[in-house]
Amino acid sequence: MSKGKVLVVDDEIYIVHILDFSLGMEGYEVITALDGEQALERMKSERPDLVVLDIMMPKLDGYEVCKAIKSNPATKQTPVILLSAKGRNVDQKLGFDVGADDYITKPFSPRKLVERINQLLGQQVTERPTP
Amino acid sequence: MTPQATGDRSRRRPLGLLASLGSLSFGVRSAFDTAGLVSSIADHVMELARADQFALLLLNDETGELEGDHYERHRSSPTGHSRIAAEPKSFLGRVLRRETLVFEESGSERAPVAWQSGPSESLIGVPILIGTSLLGVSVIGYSRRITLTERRRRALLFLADQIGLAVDRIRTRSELDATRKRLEDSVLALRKVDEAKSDLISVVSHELRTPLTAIKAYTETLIDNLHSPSFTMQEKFLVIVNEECDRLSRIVNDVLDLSRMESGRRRLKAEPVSIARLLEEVTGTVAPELTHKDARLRTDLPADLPQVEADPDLLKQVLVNLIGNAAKFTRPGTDVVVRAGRQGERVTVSVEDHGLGIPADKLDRVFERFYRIEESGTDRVSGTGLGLAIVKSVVDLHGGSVRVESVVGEGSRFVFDLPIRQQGFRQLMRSLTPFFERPELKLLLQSCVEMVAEVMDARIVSFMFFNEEGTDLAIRASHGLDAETVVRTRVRLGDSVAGWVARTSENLCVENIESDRRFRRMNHPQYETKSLLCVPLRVAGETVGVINVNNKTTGTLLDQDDLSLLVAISRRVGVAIERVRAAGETGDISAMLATLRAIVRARRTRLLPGSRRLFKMATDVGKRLGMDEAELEVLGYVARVHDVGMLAVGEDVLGSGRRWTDTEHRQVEAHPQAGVQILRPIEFASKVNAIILSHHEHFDGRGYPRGLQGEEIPLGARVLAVLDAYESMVAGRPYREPFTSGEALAEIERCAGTQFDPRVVAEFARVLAEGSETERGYRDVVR
Repeated sequence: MSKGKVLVVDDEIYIVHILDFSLGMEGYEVITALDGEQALERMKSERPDLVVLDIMMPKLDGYEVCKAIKSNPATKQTPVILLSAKGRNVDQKLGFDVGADDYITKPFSPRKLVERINQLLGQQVTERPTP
Repeated sequence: MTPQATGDRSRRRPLGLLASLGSLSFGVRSAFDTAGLVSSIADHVMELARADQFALLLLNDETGELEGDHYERHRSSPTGHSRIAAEPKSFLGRVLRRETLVFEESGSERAPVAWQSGPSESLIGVPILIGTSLLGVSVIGYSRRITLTERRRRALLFLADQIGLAVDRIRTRSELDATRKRLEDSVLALRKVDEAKSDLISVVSHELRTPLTAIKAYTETLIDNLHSPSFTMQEKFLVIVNEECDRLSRIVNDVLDLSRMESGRRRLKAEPVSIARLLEEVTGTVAPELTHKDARLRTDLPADLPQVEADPDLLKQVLVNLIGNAAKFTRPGTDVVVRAGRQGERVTVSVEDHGLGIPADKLDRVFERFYRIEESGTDRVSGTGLGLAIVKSVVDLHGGSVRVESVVGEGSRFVFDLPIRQQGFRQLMRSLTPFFERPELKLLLQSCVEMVAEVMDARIVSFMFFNEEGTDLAIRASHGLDAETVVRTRVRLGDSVAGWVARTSENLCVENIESDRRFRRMNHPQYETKSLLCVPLRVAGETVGVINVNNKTTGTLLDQDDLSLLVAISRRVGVAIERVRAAGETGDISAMLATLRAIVRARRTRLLPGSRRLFKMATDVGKRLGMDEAELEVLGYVARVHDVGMLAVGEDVLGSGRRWTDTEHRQVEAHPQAGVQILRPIEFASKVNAIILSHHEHFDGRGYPRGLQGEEIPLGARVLAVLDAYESMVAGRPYREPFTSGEALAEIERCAGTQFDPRVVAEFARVLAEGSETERGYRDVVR
C-alpha cells in the first residue's frame, strides 16, 4: 500500500529520476511532470497528496504553478515544496508569498527532502533497512 | 587747462594706474565665468588706461580665428562681437606674429574692430600669453590721440599678463570640468559593466547548481544505499554523476572563455586559416553526435575559397559549436550541410540542419547566454547554454557578424561572415575613431596638420584615414582645403594617388601630376602647383591612412628632399597618435599639444632658421659627406626644428636689439636642452635628440652644453653647427649688420678646426659655390 502520491516537477530529467527512485524506495507513489503546464494537468488527473516543484522551468514557472494550486479550492490543501537553484532570500520570500509550504535550495539532500515530505504528510519515518 | 595741471595729471595717472592694478588682479581672480570676467577686465582696463574701447579676442585653436566681445566706455554691456581671421600684415596679424605690444596711430591702419563710437584715433594691441602659448589679443582703443609712454607700455603688458592668467585659469577650469564629466561617464559605464557581471554571476551560479544538484543527489543516494543488498543502480548512478561532472567542467570552461573574450583580454592571434582544413579537423570532434543521429556532414566549398585571417582555435570552436548544435537538432538520417563562399572582402560560412526549426519570436534570443528554446526534453542535458553565445563573441571579435534563419518544421541555418583581412586592422581603425569624434583629439589631429603645414612650408595639407574595412579613405583633418572638398573627398583603395600610396605603403613624390604616367589626370584648380607629396601614415606598424602635401608657400616644386622631410614628420605624427591611443581615455595630451604648437609658433615667429636654404644646404652637405637615406631624413627634420628651444628664451631677449646679459646668455646656451624637452612628446629617435643637443658643441671641445670634441659630436650636429652659424651671420642680429655670403663663409673657414669640423666646412664651401645655380634652377620651375 502506497504511503501517498507525490507529484515531482522538474525540467531536469536526472532530478526527476533520482526523486522517483528515492521516494519510491520510501514507499510513495511518484508521478512526474517536466514543465509547468504538464504539472497542472497532472494535478487535475492524478490528485497527488504533495507536490515537489522546481521554480525555473519552461512554459510555466514554479511560482505560477504554486499560485494556481493554492488558488484552486480543490487543491489548496495540497502541500507544495519548492525546489530551486535560486537561493536568495527574496526568491524564498516570493515562494512563501505564493503559498509554498516549504522551500528547499539546490543542491539538496534527497534524504532530507524525504524527511520533510514525511513530516508534511504526517507519516512516521520508516526505518531504513540496515545491513 | 594750465600747464601745471597737465603736469600733475600726467604724473598722477600712471602712478594711479599701477597702484590700481592690484584691484584688477583681485577682480580677475574672483571672477568665475568667462563673460563676467571679460566684462570686469574691460571695465578695469578702460578705467585704468583711460581708454574708450576694449576688445578681448581669443584665439580659436581649431580655426585660427580671433573671437570675442567689444566693450566701450560708459556702456554696461558688450557693444559688439568680432570673429576675425587675422591677415598676417594686418594690425592683429602683427600682434600675433610678433607676440609683442603693437601701437598704431590713426589713419595708418584699417580698424580691426568696428566700434559703435567710431574708429579709434590711437590703437594698442597686446598679445595674451601664457608661458610659450599664445591665447589671443586684447585691443585697446582711444577716441583721441595718445602717446605711448614707457610706463603705459609696461602697465599694459602687466595687464595682459593678468588677463592671460585669468583666461588660462578659466580654460583650465573648463578643461577640468570636461575631464570630470568624462570620468563620471566612465564611472557610469563601469557601473553598468559591473551590474552586467553581477547578473552573469547569478545566472552562472544557477547553471552551475543544476549539474551540482544531480551530482549531490545521486552521490548521497549511492552512499545511503551502499550496503543495501537490493540496490542495483550503482553503475547507472555513477555514470550519471560522471556525466554531470563533465557538464559542470564544460560550463566552467565556456564561461571562462566567454568572459575572457568579452573583457577583451583574449587577444586575437590571427593567422591565415583555411576553412576547408579546419572543417576536416572539426569532423572528428563532431562525429559521435552525427553517428548518434545517423546524420551525415555534407560540405560545399568552392575550390578557390581564400584563406581568412583568424584565430584558428577560436574559429574551430565556432564550427564545432554550430555543427554540434546542428547534429543535435537535425532529424535522424538527414544531412548537416556546411557551405562557404566569398563575398567581396569577406568569407561567408553557413551551417544548416533539418530539424524542428526555431520559432520566429525566439530567433533573436538564441545567441544569449544560457538561453534555451523552451522545450522539455532530454537532449538539452548535454548543452551548456553557452555555445551560441561563444559563437557570437568569437565572430564579433573577428569583426564579423552572425545570424540565424529558420523555418519551423524544416530546419535552421546559421550564417556567419568574417573579413578576409584581419591583423588587428579593424580594431586599430576602431581605436582611432575618438580622433575623429572627441573634440580634444580632433584638435590634436588638427595641430598635427598645422605642424606639417608649417614645417613643410605647404599651403595645403590633408590627413586621410581608412574606414574600418580598409576599403576607402576620407579626409579627417586638413589645412588650406575648403569644407566641401573635405566632406566630399572619398578615395577607394588603389585609386588615384592617395589610394595607391595607401595600398602600397610607399612614399610618393609626383613632380607633375598631369604628365605622370601612373596617374595621368588633370590638376584640380585649387592645387596651384602640379607637384605633390603623399606618404603613408603608420600607427602601430600599420598603414592607417596617408598624408598629402600640396602647394609650397614659395610656389616651388616639391622634390625628393621635401619627401624625405615629410617622411620624417609623418613618423612623428604616427608616434604622436600611437602614444595618445596607447594612453587611452585618461591620457593627458596637453604636453603633445604644446609640442605641436611650439613648433608651429617657432616657425611662424621665424625663430627657427626658416629659410629653405638651410634645409636644402644641410641635405646637400649631408649627401656629400656620404650620409645614407635614414641619416639624411633625420638631418633634414632636425634642420627644420632644432632651434625650437629658443622659444624658452623668448623674443624679448632675442629681439632686444642689444647685447645679451650674462643671464640671458646662459638662457640662450641652454636652448638645445630646452628644444629636446619641447620635442620629447613626439620624438622617438635618440639620434634627433643627440643632434639637437650637440649642435652648439665646438670641434675643439670648447662648445656647449657638454663640451664634446671632434668625432664625439654627431656628424649631423657638426653639419648643423656650420649652417646655423652661416644663417645667423647672413641674417644678422639686431645689434649687428648682416654679413654677405662671402664674409660669412670666410668667418666659418677661419673657424674650421676650432669651432667647426674642417671636413664639413670644405663640403659646405662647395655646396655654397654651386648654390647660386640651384637657386636659379628653382626660380625657373616656379608655376
